[in-house]
Amino acid sequence: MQAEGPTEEERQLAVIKAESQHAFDTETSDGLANAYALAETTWTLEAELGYVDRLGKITREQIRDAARRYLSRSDYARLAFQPKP
Amino acid sequence: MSRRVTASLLLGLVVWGLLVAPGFAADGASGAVTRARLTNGMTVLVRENPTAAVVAISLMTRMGTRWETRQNAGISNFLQLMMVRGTTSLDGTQIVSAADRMGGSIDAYADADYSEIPATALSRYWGEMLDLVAEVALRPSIPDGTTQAVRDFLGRQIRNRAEKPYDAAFDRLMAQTYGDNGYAWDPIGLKESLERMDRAALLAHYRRHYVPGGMVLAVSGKVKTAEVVARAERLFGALPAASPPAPNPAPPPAPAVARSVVTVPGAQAQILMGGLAPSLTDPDLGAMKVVSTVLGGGLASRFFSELRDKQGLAYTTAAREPMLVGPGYFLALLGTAPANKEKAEAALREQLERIQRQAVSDEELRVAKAYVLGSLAMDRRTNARQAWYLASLEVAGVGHEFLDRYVAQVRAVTAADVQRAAQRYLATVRTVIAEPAP
Repeated sequence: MQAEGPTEEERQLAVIKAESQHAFDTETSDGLANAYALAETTWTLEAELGYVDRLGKITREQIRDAARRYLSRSDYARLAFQPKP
Repeated sequence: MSRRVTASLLLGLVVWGLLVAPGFAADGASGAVTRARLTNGMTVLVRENPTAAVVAISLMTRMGTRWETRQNAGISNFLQLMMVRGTTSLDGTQIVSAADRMGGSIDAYADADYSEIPATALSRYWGEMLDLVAEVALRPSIPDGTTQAVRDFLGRQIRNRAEKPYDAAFDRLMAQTYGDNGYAWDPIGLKESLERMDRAALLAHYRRHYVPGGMVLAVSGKVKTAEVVARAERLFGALPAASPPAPNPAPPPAPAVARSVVTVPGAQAQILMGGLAPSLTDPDLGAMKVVSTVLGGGLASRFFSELRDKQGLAYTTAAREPMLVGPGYFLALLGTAPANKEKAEAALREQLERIQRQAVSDEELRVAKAYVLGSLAMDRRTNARQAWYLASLEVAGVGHEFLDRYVAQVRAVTAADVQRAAQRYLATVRTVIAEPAP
């Protein structure tokens, strides 16, 4: 992902899934109220209202760059649960 | 405009003009629902809901454990799982991938009174998702190579249920309550019957039940009714008209007082008490729902406030009285520490006796009725649940209009009704206790 980014097909599928997640999360009154309140708390209502439009414009290069920025190869924690011997 | 498009639109208009019943609102909170009958008798229900760009589809069939016997217990669910694992054109992975590309999902399972293929998608893909649902429903390949894998999967589910305290106790209670009636077993089925089922048996079951007279398609979401009905006619209209077999369930045994203990792994004891209760169309349904709610519905219920909060006898409490087409059941449940199980059992029994001998207060009645009706409204918030209600009530033979009657029935319940229903249904209960091995 950091080297090449997603394929165009993967990008489209990811956008549709994110759009769908958002649509189903906000199909009820309580879902919508939660989304709006969260938006006003952590970003802005305008940003929330434009979220789906922005999703569709995300490019493969932007995804690759985000992977490079946030999927660090050195700065992460690893935890594994193992059965007792 | 091409001839093909013209013909398609014309078909839509004919279907719309001749077969669609007038729309009406199912309740104040939902959009109008339209019922249409395809030319072969299949029912289509559409609820237009423009508030979100999503669609939910429920294709239900009159097929479930109510139609099963001990010999073929679980065949409906087995068939449903096979259907979503391959059609004559798509394998299971392609089915799932197609749903993914629409921002949705598709599944299949069976229950007691129906079998369902539920699907969701972004609403701009409603047509393609309806095509996929039809593909799964009408052209299953029931691949031989997958049959054993699904049978093994179901076998593991049966073994898992036997090791979970609540599931093991519940299955024992249902077996005792219903005897040879199909409600006696979980839709997963029974180990012995599943081992006997082969592809030929699954196909025969499919051909008996997937017929227009037993199929209901419900669609809720940002769609246009006329377009949905026209597409449904195109997809399902070629099925020859036929009716599914009538269920012929064995009558459940007479209610009896009984007590049994199941030993299972785990750290918690589960105490279950229950017996037969009103069916969907029984006039006592509303009163018994209120009984169930007074006892175990939510944080204001007697089980929660008295047995858990005041007496500290339970980790978990619940009461259940599901809507079933055939004889329903009532279930009271306490999850408790093994050291408390004797006291908890006595306390639970006392609660079932108290509601029979003493009328509920006006306030308790008001709160319970509000909880029943509020829970129903909250459960119908999503398009998926709306589609489920539309299809399941139609398959049950009462139609979604039933909910209006049910709401009125619950509103009219009095304290005397609650006491009378409790005396009728809680006087003779069976007890099953699941306790950890010592």
